[in-house]
Amino acid sequence: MQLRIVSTVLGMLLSFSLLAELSPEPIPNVEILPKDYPDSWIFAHDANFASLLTGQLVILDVAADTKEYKGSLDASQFGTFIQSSTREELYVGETFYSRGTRGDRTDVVTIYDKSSLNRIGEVVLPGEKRAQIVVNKYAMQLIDNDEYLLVLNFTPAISVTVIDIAKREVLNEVPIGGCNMIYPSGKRGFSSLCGDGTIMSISLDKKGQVIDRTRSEPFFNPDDDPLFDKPMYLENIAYFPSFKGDIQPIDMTNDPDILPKWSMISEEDAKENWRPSGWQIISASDEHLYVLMQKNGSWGSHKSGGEEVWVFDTSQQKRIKRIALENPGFSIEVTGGKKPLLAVTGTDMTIWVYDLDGELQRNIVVGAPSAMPIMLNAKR
Amino acid sequence: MKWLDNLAEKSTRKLARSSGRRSFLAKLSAGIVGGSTIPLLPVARASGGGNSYPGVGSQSTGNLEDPGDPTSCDYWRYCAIDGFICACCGGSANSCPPGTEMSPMTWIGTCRNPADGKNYIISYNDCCGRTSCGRCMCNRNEGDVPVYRPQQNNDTNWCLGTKSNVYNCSTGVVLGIALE
Repeated sequence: MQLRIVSTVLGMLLSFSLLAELSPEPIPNVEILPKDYPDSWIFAHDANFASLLTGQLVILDVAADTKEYKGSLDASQFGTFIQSSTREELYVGETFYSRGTRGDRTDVVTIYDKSSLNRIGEVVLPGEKRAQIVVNKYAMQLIDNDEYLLVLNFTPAISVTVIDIAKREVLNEVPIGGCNMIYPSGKRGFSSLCGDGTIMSISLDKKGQVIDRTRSEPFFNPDDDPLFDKPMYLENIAYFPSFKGDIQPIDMTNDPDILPKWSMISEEDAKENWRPSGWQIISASDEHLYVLMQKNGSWGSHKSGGEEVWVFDTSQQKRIKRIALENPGFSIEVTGGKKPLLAVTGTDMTIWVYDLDGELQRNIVVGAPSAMPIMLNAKR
Repeated sequence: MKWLDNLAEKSTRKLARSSGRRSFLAKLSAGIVGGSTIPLLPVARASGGGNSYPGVGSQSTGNLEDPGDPTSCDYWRYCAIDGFICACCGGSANSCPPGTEMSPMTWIGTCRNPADGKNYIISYNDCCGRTSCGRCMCNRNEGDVPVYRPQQNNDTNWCLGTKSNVYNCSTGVVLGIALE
């Protein structure tokens, strides 16, 4: 026994003498990120309802069990966010007051470098009218190969500001009264859902001026079965779920082409009152739609969240899988790449990561206990 | 362009008072407003008696015709509210905390008063100009429609037409009886 202790101590002394001393470390020292993010990285948009002035986007590697937190961007006062897919840039729509909660208002699109996460520019938005809506991807969108950035306004008069993002220049403001949100459509344009159950479509020229404006016939009933305002695009088709469980596909290649709707709810499902529910309730991988579903849903339960994710094949319009979540979900997003993952913001406001077979992989906390990462953005 | 905005604001407000009411009445007649909410979300956690918010003192309206605890998410007026309850923040069910500014524009819900069984039009005016109160978060969505019907949508920051758009808390003001 004594011999063993002696030999252990001798061994430790020997190994200490072999270890090199630590070198002085450089100050300052700030991390940078790769220019091209891995497919498993997401931007979790924390609305931070407890202090809306300090909303943020947190970059997470949902495939990682170590160093999963990569960095963050600010997104002040009902901020909006989109990644460029053609430039190494990130855009955040924000609102500031000169004295914090009061003073002169400035609306701005802040431009970040994707690698350094440094602010590299901004576009000041005119008119003090940037829409302040609980985080919604379709309040700010890029169109025409990401050349033009469109920003929603709400005063409550509704309009869209058109920005040439390379030139950092505001080109135009397009009124869309009676309709809301920005769904990219056509070669250089966007569409908006309208309160009367129609869809409006705007085409723009290279200077951001309106060259065409169309309006569909009514195709959904906002009183009886409203469409959720956050669709999922697969190629050029936007899939809008409805409160009662239909999928309304709209082909956005040109002017919106309203395709036949189909139901996600079988007769058996209907007996248990399954419905889509949550905040960002639809995502996709390949030709498969992932939809957050709630059992025993009812009128007014559309934002409660759900206990399962259902997977539908868009060509067969059939359910191919059910994923039971370990913890009820509020928002979902499927990442791209060869090994896609299903990221779920739980109703506990932490991120739960599953593989596409529904096996829970890990749980990630985004920030303070008050964090509300209710919109997840996969790599664009 | 300011006059155009003002005009649009006025007409939207008018729309809010009319079409919002009509469609809510339609839903009422179908018996779908006033159903139970599912307290899945941590932010919609009130259930049962009292206000169920730790560290928040209970209140009473002191009025048998307006029963309930104004600090509770279950209080009848809050059937389509989304935000911090002003009664927990220095205001009341129908008033803003001192120093804030009540938004002149808002969204509208229709809630049933259990005392007289009548349906009332409720205006969810936000209080603005101070940072988030943070107490008594309550999200109920009976009659909430997505943003393409802004006058029926509670995801919109209704701190509009105020000196500052910074959101503090939400009230539930009785505008009148919905039926008859």
